[in-house]
Amino acid sequence: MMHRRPLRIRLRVSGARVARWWADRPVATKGLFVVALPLVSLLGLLLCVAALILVERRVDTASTRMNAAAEATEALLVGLLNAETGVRGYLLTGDPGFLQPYHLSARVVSQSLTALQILVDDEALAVPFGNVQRLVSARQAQWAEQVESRRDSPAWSAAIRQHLDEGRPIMDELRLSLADMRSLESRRVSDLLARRAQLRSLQWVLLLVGLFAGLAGGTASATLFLTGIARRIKGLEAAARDVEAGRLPATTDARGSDEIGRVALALRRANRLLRRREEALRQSAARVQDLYDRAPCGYHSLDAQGTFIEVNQTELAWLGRSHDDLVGRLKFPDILTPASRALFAERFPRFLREGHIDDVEFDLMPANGVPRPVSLTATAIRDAEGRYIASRSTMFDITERRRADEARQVLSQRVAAALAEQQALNRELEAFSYSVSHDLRAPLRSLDGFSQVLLEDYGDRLDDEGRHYLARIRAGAQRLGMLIDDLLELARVTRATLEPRPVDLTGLARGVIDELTAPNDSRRVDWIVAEHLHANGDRVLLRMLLQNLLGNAWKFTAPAANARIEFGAQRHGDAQTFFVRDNGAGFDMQYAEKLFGVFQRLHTTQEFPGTGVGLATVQRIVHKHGGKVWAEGAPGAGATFWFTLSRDETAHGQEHPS
Amino acid sequence: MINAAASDKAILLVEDNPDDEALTLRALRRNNIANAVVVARDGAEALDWLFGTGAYLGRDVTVSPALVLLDLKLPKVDGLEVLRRLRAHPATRLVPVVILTTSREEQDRLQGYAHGTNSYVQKPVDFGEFVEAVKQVGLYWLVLNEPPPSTN
Repeated sequence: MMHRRPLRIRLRVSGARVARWWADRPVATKGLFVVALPLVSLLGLLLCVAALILVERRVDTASTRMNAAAEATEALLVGLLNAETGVRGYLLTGDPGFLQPYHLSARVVSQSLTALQILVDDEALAVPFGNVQRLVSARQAQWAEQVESRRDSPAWSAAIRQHLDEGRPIMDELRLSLADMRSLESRRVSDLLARRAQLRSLQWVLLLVGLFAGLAGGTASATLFLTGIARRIKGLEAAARDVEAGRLPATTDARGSDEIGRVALALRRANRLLRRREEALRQSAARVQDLYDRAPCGYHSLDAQGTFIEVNQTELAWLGRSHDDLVGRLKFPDILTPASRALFAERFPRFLREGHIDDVEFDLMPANGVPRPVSLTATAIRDAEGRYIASRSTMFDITERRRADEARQVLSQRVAAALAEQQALNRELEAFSYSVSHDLRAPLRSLDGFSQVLLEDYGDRLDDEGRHYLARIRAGAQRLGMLIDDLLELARVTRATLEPRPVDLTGLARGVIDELTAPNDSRRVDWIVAEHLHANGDRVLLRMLLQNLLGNAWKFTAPAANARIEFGAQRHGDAQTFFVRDNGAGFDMQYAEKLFGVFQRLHTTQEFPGTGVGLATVQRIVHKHGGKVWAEGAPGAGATFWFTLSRDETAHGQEHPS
Repeated sequence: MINAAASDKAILLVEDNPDDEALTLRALRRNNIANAVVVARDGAEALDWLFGTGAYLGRDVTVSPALVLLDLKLPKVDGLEVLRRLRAHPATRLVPVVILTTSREEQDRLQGYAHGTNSYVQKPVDFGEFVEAVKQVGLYWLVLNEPPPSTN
């Protein structure tokens, strides 16, 4: 037992292996096996029968040979007896006529012996045949000697008598041996015949058994094979029906990896895939449903009569109603305010016709009675023939928008009012400027003109003091004229609408400097103008700005020995802060605030002429551009005016008192 | 070398301010401009003189002025309207017109040229400058400038 167990295990393992191997064969191979099995057994059977027939044929040959041998043995015996008779007759008579059979038989004997030599291949016959050959040779020698001796002595003699007897023992022995051979041969023949009969019957048995076994085995294996296949296909069919019915079985009978096994495996995988897809689909559907239901806008669909087909939770929450209240029961106008209902009655037929409606405002009438304004956009779903099926409607709550609209309306009314007021003021200012421009200067011209006339026509009747007073009247009138001009310019700046475009400040500054220096080339001023200064602004106003700042610098450096005026910019990233710097009279920083006020002056007109409006104009221009302007300086140490021209630049600007 | 045709003709001064009228006349005199000067004290009067209507009914309107010195701010009919009607009329549409006004307003200049003025001169406050301006205008329009061919 101890050493048989491993063997059994090995057998079982190999049995399982074979079973698996078998299961993994393709069905066609299996079918071939099933068909081949009885065929092979039949073939084996036929081979056996053929072998038996061959054996039988050999037995037949052997028995033929034995029969021939028996005949040859018989012929030999006859030949020998003839020769004996002939020799005996000759010996007795001395008549050579008796020798004729002896001579004749010699050939027969020799032929028979040769035949036997060939035919005898049996051990059992070899011994007596050897004896026969020896005895025949011996007797033939005797015969030859006896015939010789008789021929030499034609008379009868005792010697001859002796000759008659001397051959008897050999002949007796020969007879015995030949009889032995005959009996052996006949026994052999009968043996062979018996064997042949045996083989015949064996053939029949084999044929019958083989046929039966082949047929039965073939039928059994075919049946087993077919029922097995049928059972597995039935399993597959059941699984397929499950799939068809929507049930997705997790397992399918799928032993082996033949075609059926692979189909089963594929089905199992397909099921797994389908289950996964179904799950994904379910989740996706849930997501979509969630999106539909909880979107921050109302969704619904209406049929051709305007009845709700579907509606989302958001809209239901707005209406304070349930899904079942609406769907299939109410029409869209049922949940609207009367005014919106009229609008719907007007727009819905058009919607059915045109297939869309965009951003139309309705007021919903929810259960709580507080109307909710919504904006509705919808498109029509149509079938292949273009017939209306349903609407896809989206509504946005526009409570906030409407509130904002109202607020905006109020605001825009206020803005419009403010604007109108502003425009009225501007018109007033314009009218004022216009009349100032026309009317205020005319009396000044009279003052100046008639003072001059007085001087010209009556100068000789006035003393120096009188002429001096007239000169002062003229100076006052001219100064008032300048003031009016500057004020009008300031007013013009205030009213001007900005037309911003890229302006070459360097070029502009050079033009202004040329204007300043042209009528007065006796002054030596060191002008330093930075290259490539650009800004976005109104060219006319920026020129006015530079005229004022550079003009101021020019004016206040008049007494300086080494006058130096610089126009440049400091960069802060993309932003620029421009400056105009001079080394002229400068100013006390404690009055810096006053610099930009109208009519504010830090010097007397005797020191430096001016109206006190220029820097106010500068500030107005800078402010119009969204920039800032400020000044740094010290008495006798010059002044620097900084300015920016856009809001961005002020973000980088320095701390300044402006 | 005073242009004979120009010196024969009158200058029409349209000016409502008597001070300015006096000063302008003085400036013309001081600059030796010998043309007769017709003074109209408002726009309506200027138009009457030009077209021989109203107080000037029956005036020989074929005699057009050598130069019109036109103030803008005028009673009744303002300067721009005078200019417009003057330019619209075939007899006067080619007459040289110089707007001589106190205003330097952009819109006035723009409107003046748009209505077909030949020149725009602002009256300076300084009388010296004013005399100089009148001299320049007279020299240019009455002496230097060739007037359009006469239509009569």
